[in-house]
Formats: sequence, C-alpha cells, structure tokens
Amino acid sequence: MKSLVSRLGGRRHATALGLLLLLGAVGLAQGWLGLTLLPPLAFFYAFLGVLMLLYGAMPLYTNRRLTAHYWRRTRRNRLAVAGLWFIVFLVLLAVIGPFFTQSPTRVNFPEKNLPPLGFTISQSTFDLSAGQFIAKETPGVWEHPLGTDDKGRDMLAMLVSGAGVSLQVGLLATGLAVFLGAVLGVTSAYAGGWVDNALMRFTDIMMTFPFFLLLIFIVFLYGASLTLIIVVIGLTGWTGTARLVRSEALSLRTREFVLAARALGASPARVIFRHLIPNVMSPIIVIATLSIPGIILAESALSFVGLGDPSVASWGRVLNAGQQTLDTAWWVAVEPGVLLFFTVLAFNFLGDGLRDAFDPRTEV
Amino acid sequence: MRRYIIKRLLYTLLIAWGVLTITFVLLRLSPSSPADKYLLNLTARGQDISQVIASIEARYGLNRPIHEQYFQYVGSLVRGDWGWSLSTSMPVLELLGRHWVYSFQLILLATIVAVFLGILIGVYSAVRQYSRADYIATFFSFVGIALPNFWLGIMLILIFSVKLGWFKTYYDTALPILSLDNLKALVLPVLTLSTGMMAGYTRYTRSATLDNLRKDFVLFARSKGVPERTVILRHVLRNAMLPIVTIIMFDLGSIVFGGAYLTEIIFGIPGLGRISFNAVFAQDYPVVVAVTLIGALVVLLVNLITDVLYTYLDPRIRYD
Amino acid sequence: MASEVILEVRDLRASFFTIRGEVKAVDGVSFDLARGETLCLVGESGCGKTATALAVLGLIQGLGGRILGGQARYRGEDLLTAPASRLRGLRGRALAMIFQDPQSCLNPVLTVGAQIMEPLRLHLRLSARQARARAVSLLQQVGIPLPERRLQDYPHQFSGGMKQRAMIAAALSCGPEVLVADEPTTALDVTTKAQILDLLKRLRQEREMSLIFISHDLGAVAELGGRVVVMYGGRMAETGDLEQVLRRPCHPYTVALLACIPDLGGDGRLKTIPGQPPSLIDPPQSCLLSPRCPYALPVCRRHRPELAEVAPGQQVACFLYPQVLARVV
Repeated sequence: MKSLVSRLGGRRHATALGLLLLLGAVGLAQGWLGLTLLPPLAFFYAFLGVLMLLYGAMPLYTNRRLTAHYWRRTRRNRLAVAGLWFIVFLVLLAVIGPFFTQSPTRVNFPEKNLPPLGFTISQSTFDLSAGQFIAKETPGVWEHPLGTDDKGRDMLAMLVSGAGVSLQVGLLATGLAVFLGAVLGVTSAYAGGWVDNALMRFTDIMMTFPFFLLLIFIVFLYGASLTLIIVVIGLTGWTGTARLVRSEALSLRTREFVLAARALGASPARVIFRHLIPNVMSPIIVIATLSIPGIILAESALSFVGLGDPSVASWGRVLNAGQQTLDTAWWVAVEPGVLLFFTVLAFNFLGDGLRDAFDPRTEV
Repeated sequence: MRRYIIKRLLYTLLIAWGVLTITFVLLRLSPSSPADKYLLNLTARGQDISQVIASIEARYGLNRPIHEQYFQYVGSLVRGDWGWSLSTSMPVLELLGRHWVYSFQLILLATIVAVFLGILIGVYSAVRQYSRADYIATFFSFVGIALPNFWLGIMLILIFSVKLGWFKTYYDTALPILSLDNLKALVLPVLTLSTGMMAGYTRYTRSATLDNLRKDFVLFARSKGVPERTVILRHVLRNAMLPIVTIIMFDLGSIVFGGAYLTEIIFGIPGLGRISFNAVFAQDYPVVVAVTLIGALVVLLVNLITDVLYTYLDPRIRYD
Repeated sequence: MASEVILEVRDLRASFFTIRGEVKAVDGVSFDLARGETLCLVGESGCGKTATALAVLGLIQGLGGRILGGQARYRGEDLLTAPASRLRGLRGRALAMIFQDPQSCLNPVLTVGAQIMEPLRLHLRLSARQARARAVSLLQQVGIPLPERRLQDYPHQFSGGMKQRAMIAAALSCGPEVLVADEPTTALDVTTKAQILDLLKRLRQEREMSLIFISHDLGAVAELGGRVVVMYGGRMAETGDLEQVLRRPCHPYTVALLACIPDLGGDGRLKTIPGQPPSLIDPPQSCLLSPRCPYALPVCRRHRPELAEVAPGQQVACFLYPQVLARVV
C-alpha cells in the first residue's frame, strides 16, 4: 500500500485518485442499478471539490509564504481585487439570494411590465371599471426593485437565479475542461512519440470544430439540461488548456531540476506529480480563470437562442424574453446584460491580475 | 515553401476528415432520425407514410450497415453531392451558394472596421502611453472585450431602432444586396460584430507596439534621424504585426460560427449562421453537416494562410 | 593639434523618471570635442556614459528621460534647445551613433541594405539606385565580403561581428562629423573586438571624424587614445589625456578602475572594486564614491567635490587634492 502511494507521487495524489475513482464507481452504480443517490450536478460539485481542495486549497495552505507572496502581488492590482470582490458578491447572491427573493418562475399578470425602482413608464392597460384601454403611469415598486417582465415575473428573482446558473456552468464546465486539458496536456508532453502525435491531432480536430454550432447541435439533439450543457462545454473546451499545459510541460521537461530528478532515478510518476504538475499549476489557474467568462457567455448565448435548460431562469433566457419586449419593457433586456457584462469583466480582471502576479518578470 | 503548403493542405484534408467523421458519428448516435421531422409534416397532411419511409430509407441508405452508410456518405461528399436540404427543398450546395454572401459581407465589413480602427487606436494609445487618450482607449478596450456581443446587438436595436428610430433592423432579401436600405440595415450588425474585435485588436496592438517601442533597433533608427512617423510605421508596427495578425486571423477563422452567427440571428440576416440555426431546429441534417464542414474548412484554410503570412512578416520564419 | 571645436558640452544634466523616482543619470557633465579627436567616456555600467550621449543626440526623451539643464553646442548651435525636427535632421547626418548590442539594434524584419540606405535616402535624398551603390561601397569599407549580395540579407543571416560592421556602415552612411560608439565591442568575442576597434580607428583617420567612445574596458580605451572622461554616478570624476589618466591617475576611482584590469604578471586573481555602484535616485550632496573609497575624508561625506585642475589638461573631482578642497572652504 505504501509503495503504491509513493509510486503515485505522495498521499495527496493517491487521495485524489481514490476519491475520483469512488465518485466514478458511485456514478456507474447509479447508472446500472437505476438508483438516484446523487443528482447529476452533485457529481460535478464533488469532482470539482476534490480537485480544488487537494490541488487548490492544500498547496495554498502548505506553502503559506508563497501564497502570501502571490496574494500581495495580486492585491496590488486594484482591478483584479475589484473583480474578485464582484465574484464573491455574485457567489453570495447566487447562494443566499434565493432565500430572500420571490420565485423566479411565478407568473403574475396583474403586475406585468413594472419598471425598476425610480423609473415610471406610461402603459396602456385594460381598466375593468371603465371597460376600455387607458394610458396609465406605472411607477416602479419596492416589491419588485428591478421591475417585472411581461408575465409579471420578478426581475430580481430571475437575475439571482441566473447568477446561480451562470456560475454553476462557468465553474463546473471550466473545472471539467481544465482537468481534461491538464491531464491530456501532461500526458502528451510526458509520453511524447505517437501518443503525443495522436493526442495533438485530436486536439487539432476539436479546435477546428465550429464550437458554438456543435454546442447548439448537441443540445438540440439530446435535450437541454444544465448537466448536458456543462458536460458538452467541458468535453469540448479543453483544447486550449491541453496545448498550453503541453507546451509548459515540454519546456519544464528539459529544465535542470527535472533533469536532475530523473538523473537521481525518480520514477515517471514522481516526475509528473512532484515536478511537472506543481509547476504548471499557475498557468492552469490563470487559463481557468480566463476561460470562465467565455464559458459563461456560451451558456448565455445558448439560452438566448432558446436552447437553455427550460427549468431554470438564466440570464440568456431573460435576455431572449427581453428582446421580444424591447418596445414595452426595455429593462428586461438591459438588466441581465449588465450583470453578464460585469461578470465577464470581473473574471477578465482577476485573470489578468493573477497572470501578472504569477509571472515573475512583470512588475506589479 | 511549395512543399510545405502541399503538406499543410494534405493535413487540412486529414483534419477535415476527422471533423466529418465525428459529425457523422454524432448524427448516427442521435436519438431522433432525420426522417422524423419530414414524416411528421407528411402525416400532418394526411398522407400514407409507409411508402415514404421505405423510399427515404432507400434514398439515404438507412437500412444498410453503418460502415457502408459512412463510405457512401463520404463518397458522395467527395463527388460534390452535399445532399438535399429537406427544410428548404433544394440541394445543400445551392442553399449555401445563395446565402454565403450575406455572411461574407457582414464579416468583411466588420473585420475591415475592426482591424483599421483597432490598429489605429492601439498604436496611438501606445505612442501616447499614460496620456488621457491612452487611458480612455484602454478603458474602452476592456469594456469592448467584456461586452457580450448578442447583448450589445440588442442594446443597439433598443437605442437606435426602438428609441431613436434611425435604422431599420431587418434585412430584406428581396432588395439587391448593395441597395441603400440593406446597407443601412447592416450598420448596426457591423457595429455589433466589430466592437469586440476592435477592442481586442486595440489591446493587442497597444501591447505589441509598446513591446517594440523599447527595442534597441528603434533607438538605432532614431539615431539615424528617421522621422518618428516612419519609426512607428516602418520599424515598430512591422515588428508588432506578428501577434496582431495571429489574433486577427484567429478571429476570422472562428467568427463565421461564433460572433457572426449570433449577430445574424439577432438582426435577421439570412447568412450561413441563420441558415445553420434554422437547419438545426428543422433537423435538416445535410445542411448541418455541410455548415460544420465548411466552418472547419474555413478555420483550416485561415490557419494555413496565417502561416504563409508569417513568412512574409518575419523573414526569420522558414518552413523548409 | 587644437583645431576647431565641433561639440561643446557644458554642465549637462539629465534624468530618467521611473516609478521609483527620479534617476539623476547625468549630473553636470562638460567636455569639448575637436575635429578628428577621440573622447573616451569611461566608467562602470550605470554611471551615465550612455545617458550622456543619448542626451546630446536628443534620444533620451524616447526612453523616458528628460534633459534638465546645460548646453550641448554643435558648431555653436545648442542641440538641447533645438527643435526636434532640426535635431532629427542632424542625427544620422552630422551626428551618428552605434550601439552595444548589434543583435538587437538591427531591425529583424528589414534587409540590412534597407537599413543602411535609410539615412541616405532621408538625408541626402538619393534615389534608390544611388543609395544602393553607396551602400555597396559602405559595406566594402567596413569589410563585408560580397556586398551586393549581402545587402539583400536579413540581420539574422549575419554573424555578430558582421552585424556590428553593418551598423557602423549605416551610421557612417551620410559621412557624419561625430560618431558616438556606445560599447561597440562589448557583445563581441576577442578577435572580432580587435577587428572592430581597428576599423573604427581607420575610419576615424580616413574621414577626419570625431569619435566619442563609450566603454568600461580600459584596454580598448588605451587602444584608441585621445582624451578620457572618467564618470562615476552620473558625474565626472576625472578628465585628462589618455597618457595622463593611465600614467598618473588622480581620482581614487580611476586608480581602482585601473587596478581591475587583469594583467599577465598579476597573481591571477581578478580584482574588483568593493561595494555597489551608487543609487542615482535622490543622490546625497556628498562624494558618491565616499562609501566605497578607502581614502574618504569627513568632508567627502558632507560636500560634493567639483572638478579642479591638478595638472595642465587634467581635472579631478576629489577632496584629496587641495585645489578641489579650496572650492568648498
């Protein structure tokens, strides 16, 4: 047992592998036995949780001085810090928000097309007592601070729910894609030869696919659900990471400390886990952060064209509805876009900040 | 060089074949048959469908083993028979031939605008680093990069069409392509599509220009008495072009079914994006396959052109 | 042979402005350059030699520097206050410069020929054909074989020494009166170095050109002769004829610098000057060498020594000499 652990490059990797295998086993058991122990999304959370805990939180905790160093460098970039705060705010909104907002799907026609607080619009409504359409000044109300859509659904509630959808897709799909990319990239670089060749040709093919068309196509064929969307994005979005990790690992492979380790008789697994993976972690973190906005946008675009998960209110769906009512209720289209914009901006800023912080050549 | 291009073209075919095969497999694994939609229409019109099923299966060879279907499918593609579009009742190639030009003009105009303005602003902003103009340009490039393209389109419609009523937002295929009305209808889509690209090019041009402005050869050029304008254009920009061209060409490859796709859908432009979108919803598979393949070929071709362009931009790059 | 003075620099002061603060790179430098004369600027890296030359040529502004005062008169005309367009017209034509690293000074995407012909077409308004013919003869003069063919080559096809020759050809194309050579041999190997030095000496004699030779290498300086300005911390430490400075160095820094030259008769150990070169951000009003100087007096830490003549033609800024001390008390 101990030799197995050491061959895997230490307890951390053995734990990770064990947990991931366990997760796979539960998944397979569920599939075969037709049980539902865990909802499909929970698998992703567990998967991402294991990776983040063992490869994110643990090294950060054990190398506190390095962590503090990177944090100091990141903190000097004010935009990155602002981005981080916005993301924290968004996460809190998505997690706590639903307990305080109304149901995002509750249709309530009498309160339709209410503008956000502070705005008043003139609307023609059917007045029952007069028996005809009359123009009525409609002000925004406190119950619906961001207004309502043409079916009287609360905008705030829909946006809070949309934040959850966007973050889930962004984080889980990125986790999957980056994991696949890292594994394939390191494998490709370390194995070399025909394995490398085959993997890189496959990467070329995947990169050539019109990504969004493929996404629409698959989601249309197999039915829209959040899980499927995450899986498809995860399974197609790994190419950039794979290439980056491969080239990083290739350049590391010839660096002195790796050569020294091999000269001292380190096993391939040890070289991979102790030398290659820790050293490609920072580019992986950067590329993960920077690919989240693209993935969030892809999901929004998908919902926008009508292929989002119909059971949840996502920003793209609200935007789509807003496009139909541009002339009567402009805010329905404006609000989700603003949030989407700031979310993308926040991840971009944070990613740029992290990249500069990890790069010893830049002065921050 | 010629040998390199031939090698690359062969590689392009290989990758295209890979894309084709994956698309084929995805289609065959799909839970619904391509005939379903068609049949649904027929049954709705009260026709007897058993004969139709037989004829369709014979026509598409659906009753034969899968590898035979695959070879037949690839074979007819190679022969130039790209199939029959069920939803529009015409050969796929004819359908694409009618509609590619709408995508082409949108992409061409947007790219020209984005490249021209992006490089101009980027260079200016680098030369005047830390000036007010530089801060404004940098601010807008960050905003432009983060703006979701489809939301920007809607906002432009909201402001310029709904509120101000300046531009109509629908494209009329009955009118000639270069008619004034249709060109006016292209203003907002081009703006939508070019904003993000322009922001990106501004940022790349700025940083590439800054990198090269500090190079020794710029100092040497100045010491020879070369005017600043020439220093920037001839010495700095020529060297900065490599990363800029890379990103422009990457955009060109991915735009057809990326940004242009959504723009066409929002503004109702009947280009390839719109066609493929409709085809997916109509389950018109021959069209879906064709556009996927074309998308892949565009990317591959653009990559090849990029690599050839590199040798002109940087004499140090040689492929032989 | 005191002939006409071509370049007259007086109390030149220039700084770089960085995030960390103002770097006083050139602080009160003065010298005269006569026709056909060689002037050597000597000192450790970062002592302001290059910055002095860049300031005179008006190139320092493009690198984040600013000229704070003084004069640099070329044939009586102050270059520091001349309009940019006038200065640009003089650069490459009357005042030319070559740089330390030939690898990075030639534009990699332009042919060597285009870069040599550039000043010819700009300043002398030659046609493409005339410029070409001139470039061929220039390449010949700097000793590049097969000049017609090499004109079409790109810099990466040239070796390091050939790049330096090509750069010299480009700088000399319009027949400048003053050539500034900024450590032209540092990036080259020993044999190439000697060849380039010979080339510079030959060209200077043939063309009666004045040469400002910037170097930290006293061996190379000894080879070229002429006047020497030893710089330390952006200030002039000592100036005099080569003979005087080598035979009878007066400033402790010059002495130390000379002691650092490795010689065959020594004990084989390379001598160094202890301590670090001074930071030029907010320098104190004292002798900048005093923290490293074995002879430092109390006065050295309180006052800044000015140049004073210790022998005919030799000036030193050091309080060890009564002439210098006399200026503060």
